Amino acid sequence: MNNHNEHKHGRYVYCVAESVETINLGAIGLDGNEVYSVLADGLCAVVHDCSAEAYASEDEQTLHRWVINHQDVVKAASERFGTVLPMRFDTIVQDTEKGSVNDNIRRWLTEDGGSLRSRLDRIRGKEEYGVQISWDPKRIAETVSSTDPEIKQVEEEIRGKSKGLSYMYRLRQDKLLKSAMEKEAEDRFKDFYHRIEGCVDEIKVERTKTGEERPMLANLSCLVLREQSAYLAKELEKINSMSGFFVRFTGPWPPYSFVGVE
Amino acid sequence: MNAVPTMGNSSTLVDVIDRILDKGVVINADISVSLVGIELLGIRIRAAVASFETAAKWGLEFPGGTNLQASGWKKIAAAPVEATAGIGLEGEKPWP
Amino acid sequence: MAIEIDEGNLKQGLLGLVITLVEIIQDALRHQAVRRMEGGSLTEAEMERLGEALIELDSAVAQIKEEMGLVETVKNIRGGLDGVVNELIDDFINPQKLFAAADRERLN
Repeated sequence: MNNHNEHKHGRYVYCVAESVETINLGAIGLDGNEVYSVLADGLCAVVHDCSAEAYASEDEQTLHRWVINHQDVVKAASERFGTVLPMRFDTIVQDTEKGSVNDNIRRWLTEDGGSLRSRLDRIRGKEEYGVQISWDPKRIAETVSSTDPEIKQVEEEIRGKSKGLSYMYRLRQDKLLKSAMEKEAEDRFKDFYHRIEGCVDEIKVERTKTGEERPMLANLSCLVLREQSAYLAKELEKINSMSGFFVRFTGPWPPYSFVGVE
Repeated sequence: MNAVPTMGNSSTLVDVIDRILDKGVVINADISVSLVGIELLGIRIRAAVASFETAAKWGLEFPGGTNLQASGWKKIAAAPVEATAGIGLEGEKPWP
Repeated sequence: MAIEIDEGNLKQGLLGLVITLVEIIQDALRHQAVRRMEGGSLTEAEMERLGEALIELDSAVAQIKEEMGLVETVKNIRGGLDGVVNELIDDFINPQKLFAAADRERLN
C-alpha cells in the first residue's frame, strides 16, 4: 500500500498456540511460503515471512485461494498443537520504531499472554460447528393456515364473496398469516436454541443470511467438546427430520467465533 | 471420533469466509499492518463470492420456483402473497 | 449492500426505481386498507370498491413491468432494499453485533 512499507518486514500470523519449541510446518503458507513458529513465554505465533503489506488482489481466484490456504494452515497447526487461537485473515505484524517484527511478536505474546492463555483455556479440547436452520415458508404457512382458527375463519368468510371483497379478505388473511408466521419463527427459534444449548458448551447467535435458497431461521456457531459432537449431531438430525425444516451442519472448525474479546 | 456432519451441504467457501474475515483474534494496531485495507478486502472477497454463488443459484435452482410462484399468484388473481412476506418469507418476492 | 440498478441502461434503471416506489406505495395502500377494514370503518360497498381498485392497480403495475421488461430490475432493487432494511433491523435486535464492531474499532 504505502511505498515505505515495502522496506519493512512483516509476519503473516495464522494462529497462536502453547509451545516451548520452535517448529516448522513446511512451505504450506500463502503463496507457498514457509510456515514456522515464533516463541515467547510458552506461547508461539505460527507465521510466514512477508513484507509489511496487507494481502490484497484484484483477482478473485487469488483471494479465494488465500482464504482457503489460511484455513488449511490453521488446521495443520491445530493438528500439531492440539488447541490454537486462529487469527483473522490478513493479520500481519510489522517492524515499528519500537522494535523489529520478531521483537513485536514476542512483546505481543508476552504482554497479551494472560488474555491469550485464558482464551486458549476457553477453547481447549473444543471445536466449533456451524449450524444453520432454514425453513420452507410455503410448507409452514400451509400448516399454520390450516390450524390457526382466525385464518380459517376468514377463509370461511371469503366463500361466495365478490372479487373486490375477497381481495380485501385475502389482505386481512395474509396479515394474520404473517403475524402467525412471525410467532412460529420465534417459537421455533427458541425451541431449537434450547435443544441445541443442551448439547454444546457455548452458542453464538450469528446474523441470519438472506438470499439463500430457503429463508434462514437460525445461524448459530457452537463450541463443542471434541468427544461430544455426536450429541449435537443427533439433536440436529431430529430437527432436520421435522417437516419443512432443514439443517446445515458444518465443521469441525477451529473455534474462530469463540476467540474474540468478550 | 468426530461426528461427521451429514445434513445439508458440506462446507463451502462462504462458510470459510464467514469465519476467517470477521472472526478470529485481532492484534493491536500499533504493531500490525493497518486493517482498513483488510476490511475492504473482506468486502471484495464477499462480493466476488456472492455474485458467483448467486449466479449459480439463479442459473440452477431458482427460475423454476420463481415462475411457479408468479403463475400461482396470477391464478389466485387477487391474493397478494406479499402480505405474507414476513420474517423468513422475504426471500420469496411474489411480485407478479 | 449496494443497490444495483442496471448500469448499462440508465432509463431502464430509472423506470425500475419509479416502479419500485409505486410498489412500495402499493404496499402502504394495502396496509391502510386492511387497517380500515379491521377498524370497521368501511361499509361492505366501500370495501368492494377499494378491493377492486387495488386489483386494478396490481394488474396495471404488473403490466407495465412486463411490457417494459422491468420485472427483474424491480426485483433486484427490492431485494437490495430488503437487504439494507434487514441489516439495520438486525443491528437493532442484535446489539452485541454493534458492541463487537465497537470493540474492533477500539482495537484497531
